[in-house]
Order: sequence, then C-alpha cells, then structure tokens
Amino acid sequence: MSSTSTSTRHPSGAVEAQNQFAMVFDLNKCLGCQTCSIACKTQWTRGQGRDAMWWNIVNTLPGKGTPRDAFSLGGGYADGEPLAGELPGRKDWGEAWDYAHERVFYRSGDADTQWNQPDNYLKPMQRDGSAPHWGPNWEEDMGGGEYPHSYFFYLPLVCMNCAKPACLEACPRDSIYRRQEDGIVLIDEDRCHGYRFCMEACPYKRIYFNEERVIAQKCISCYPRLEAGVAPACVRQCPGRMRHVGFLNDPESHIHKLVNQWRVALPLRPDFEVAPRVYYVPPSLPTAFNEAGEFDESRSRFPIEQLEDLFGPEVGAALSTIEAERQKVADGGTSALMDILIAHNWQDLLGPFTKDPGAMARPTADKTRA
Amino acid sequence: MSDQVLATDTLATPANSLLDPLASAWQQADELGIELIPTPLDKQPSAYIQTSWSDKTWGLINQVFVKAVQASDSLAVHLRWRCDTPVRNIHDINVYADACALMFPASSGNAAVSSLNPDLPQSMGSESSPVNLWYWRAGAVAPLIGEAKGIGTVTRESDANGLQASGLWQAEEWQVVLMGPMPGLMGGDTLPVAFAVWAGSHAERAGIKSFTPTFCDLRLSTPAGDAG
Repeated sequence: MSSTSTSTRHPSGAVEAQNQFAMVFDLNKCLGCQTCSIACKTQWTRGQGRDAMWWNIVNTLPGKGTPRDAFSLGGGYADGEPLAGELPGRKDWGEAWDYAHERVFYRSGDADTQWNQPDNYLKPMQRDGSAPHWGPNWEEDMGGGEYPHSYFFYLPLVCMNCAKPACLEACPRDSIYRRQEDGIVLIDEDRCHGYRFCMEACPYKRIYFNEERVIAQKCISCYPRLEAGVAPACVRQCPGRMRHVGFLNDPESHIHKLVNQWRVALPLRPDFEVAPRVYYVPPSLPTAFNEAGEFDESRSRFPIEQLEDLFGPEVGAALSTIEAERQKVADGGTSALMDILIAHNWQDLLGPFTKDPGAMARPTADKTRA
Repeated sequence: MSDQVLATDTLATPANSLLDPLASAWQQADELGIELIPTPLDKQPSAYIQTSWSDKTWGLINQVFVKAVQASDSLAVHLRWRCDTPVRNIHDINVYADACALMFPASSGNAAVSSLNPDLPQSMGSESSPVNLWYWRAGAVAPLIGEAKGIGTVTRESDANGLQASGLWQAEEWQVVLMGPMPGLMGGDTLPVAFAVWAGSHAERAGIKSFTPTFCDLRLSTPAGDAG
C-alpha cells in the first residue's frame, strides 16, 4: 500500500506532521471482547500471507502479551539512543492455527465411532501438527494476584503512530514514512525488502512479518477509510464505546481534551521514548481488601507501581481526576469529562470521521476470493 | 583486489545446462578465489543498525570461488562458498536465508576497472554511476534484477528479465549459478564485477554482509574459432 504522500524524515528521528491523527482507549470500558480484533482481521488480514497477523489485539495485563514478552524484547530508545530489539519465532507470535473443522463437523462413520474419538473437538494445531504453547492473548483473564486479591485489565493494541517512530528510523531503505497530513506511519510495501529491522525496533512489537511476500506489515490506521471520512473498523465496531479518534491538535476534539486538558489519557510505556499517539485512560480497578476481608478504599487492588510502570508517573493523578469527576455525578452534579467518557452519543467517539462505511465506493467484488 | 582477474571461457554447450552448478561445463572453467570482508559498520544507514550490531560480528563468509562463462548473449557466473549451517529458505519470522549477489556498473560494457569510481561497491553505486545487481536468495522462487544509486536505494525489477539462477548446497558449501543477459560481450573485454554474500545463520541481510569493497576485473578469453 504505497502512498504518494511526501514524508519528512529528520536525522534526529523526529518527523513533522501538520495534523496528528490520534486515538484514546478508555481502559475502564474495554470488555476484552476482541470485536475490534475481528473487525480488523475481517477488513485486512485474511489470506495473502496475513492470516497469522493481528494488527489489533487485546491482551490481558499483567501478562506477557503478544508476542510472548512483547514489551521486554527491546526496541525503542533509552536516553535518545536506539535500543537493540529481538524477534521471536512464529510460535511465540502465534500461528494461524488449523482447527480441523472438516474432521470435527463432517467426519463420516457410525455413531459409536464418530463421537467417541478423543480428538473430536476443535483442537488448534500449528503448521507442524503440534499443539500451540503460545498465541495472541494467550494469558486471557489470568492476570495477577491471588484470589480474592486478583486483578487484571484488558489492553488493546494497534500501531501507535509514534511521533518519533523507532521503526521508521531503523529501516535502512526508508521504506517507512510518516504522512504530513495526519502523522500516520506507514510501511511502503513496494520498497520493503523484509529485512525486519523495524520489527526489532518497535518496542510494542506491533509489526508483523508476511512470510509469503517477505515484507513487514502492520496496522495502517484504516487510512483508506479515514481519507473517506470513515472511522477505523476497530473504532466503529467497539461495543464498549471505548475508542475515541480525532486530531490531537484540534482543540474541540475528545483527543485534545482527554490528553491535554483533563490529562486523563496517557501514553503506554513512555519510557520507550517513541512519543506514541495512541493514549490510554487508565483503569480504575476494584479496591483492595484488608486482612479482615473488608474493602480498603485507600488503595486499588491493582498495584499502583505496576500502573506507573505502564503509564508513567501521572497515572495516579489521572485516576484521582476520574474518581473526582465520577463522584460529582454520583452526588447529582454534572461532569464534562464523564460526558466525554460515557459517550452518550456514539457518533461523538468518531471525531470528524462520522461517515458510514456503507457509503464508501467499493472495488468490484472478487468472487474468487475465499 | 582490483587486479585479480577472472578468466572466462567460451564453451560450446547449450546455454541451459550451465544453470546446473554441477554441470561438466563448470568443471572445465577456471576458478578464482576472491576474498570477502565484512561491510563497515559506520556505513550502515540507520542508527538502529549501527547500535544493534555494534557488539556483534558479521561477514561470516570470508571467501568465494568464482567461475564465469559467456554463452550467446548471456553471462553465467558460478559462485561457491563454504557454509556449515545453511539456511535454505525463510522458514520463520526470525530466520534469514543465505544469499549472494553480483554488482555490475550500469555503464559497464568496455569500461576498465581503473576508470571507475573505486567507491562504487562500498556505496552501492551513486546518482551519477548507478550499478546493476543480480541477486539470489536460497528458497526464493526466482532471482532478482535490481539497480542502485547509493546505499539504501536498491530498486528491484518486477520482471527478472531473463535472469535465471540455481543453488545447491552439498558437502558444506553452496554452489550457485546466476545466468542472465549480458549482450555485447566479446572476447578480450573486461567486465567489472563486485560480490556480496549473506550468511543467513548469522541473521545477515541488507547491508550486514560480506563483500568485495572494490570491483574485480572479469576478462573474457577469446572465443575459439572467432574470426574477429
């Protein structure tokens, strides 16, 4: 998907964009339903070597994420210097498993032999026939802590459209560029030679490898939809109403208000130093229990230090703001912040991208495609 | 290195059999050993690569043996290098296949090595002196023809334009034949060529490779029975 947009690449790695497309994910409302993941997969990653890709994925935290140990594989920067990254193999990313549907649903035979087989279920198999030991969101709902002190939340991940993208800087061929009009970071598939330095360099490990075409691919922020005024698929289809999109530099946008005004939307792992443009409203999780088994409202069940590791030192202040505004409404008052986050009107989540995808011009249907 | 000469022979064999690295025609051709060195770290075109490879070694392959034959309007080059742990294809996300490449100045023809900018192989050509590339990768469907005008500017043709290749690994070495159109060659001409080899087992790819920093002088022997 090459673009005729011009790119600006500065030697320092910082690039200029006239407007900045950005997203805010409210982690208080993510259900972990993966509708976003399937919306993306249906749209972009079926066939053509992309079956194992999850340009959008939702992982349970605490957890090792996708690929395994995703945030511990290096990449990004430290004190302005690039950090070497590692790439795990296919099994640690998660293959596109085969489930032997034919055998389970259509195996012929008499009733006794058919239903008593030990493998008569949708058993996932890797390419070599073995059972998987890792996959996307492998640690779903496991989380941390011991009952009743267990804690977790769901963390959706897409391309962060970083303003200081480590992937762009790593590529020796300038195959990755940042669009001036909206700051979206894209891989030029005509230029890419599949060297995969970008994959090592991304600290969030959001870039995938297409083994069929020997190129790197990733979330494209649904830019063809954005150009038609339509919100990304993951945003429109989210039943939790937790995804806000818009332009960071638009003072009327939810993005600007949540990030710059209320300061409740924070970058993930700011220590990676890539200036991501996807922000997160941190989760206000259940209160902790004390020794007597009573609620201890002075602290969250989710250890604050772990939240600070994830979202930086401002997370405590963000949570306090959210709690105070929530209390205002509980006391009978109003809160502009709560109105934004609740999203009474679904269309308000979409920023300027309110057009219906059904109204988009479509290519001629390819009936040969499965 | 620039005064190493690769003698080529004109042999009366059907062109296609030359694609087989084990063909008898190759056994009769003269072979020359070419020293390869690792590419310099400070020429790698991204800070990420310079940083992440600063504590590693590369350029595992330090020698390649070359034979070259002219047949009709084609040039066939046979490369042989020792490789203990072959990577025959890109079979995983973190796997890089073995590969090799030839570089010719785009305006070669009768150009003598001495008249060329000696930095061209190190800089992957230049705006004023582009280079042509023949690229073979283990497991790839077909070889690739490319052009470059400097580091990081390689453009690959979508059409191989008649370039063919065949690779075989046995007895702990790769043997690869690259054969493609090279019209206008005649006995007595010299053809500058530079070499690159990538050891996939060491994650070598892009500018992380073994190479000849200058061109080698490929001199074509006079064809038998040529009246000219």
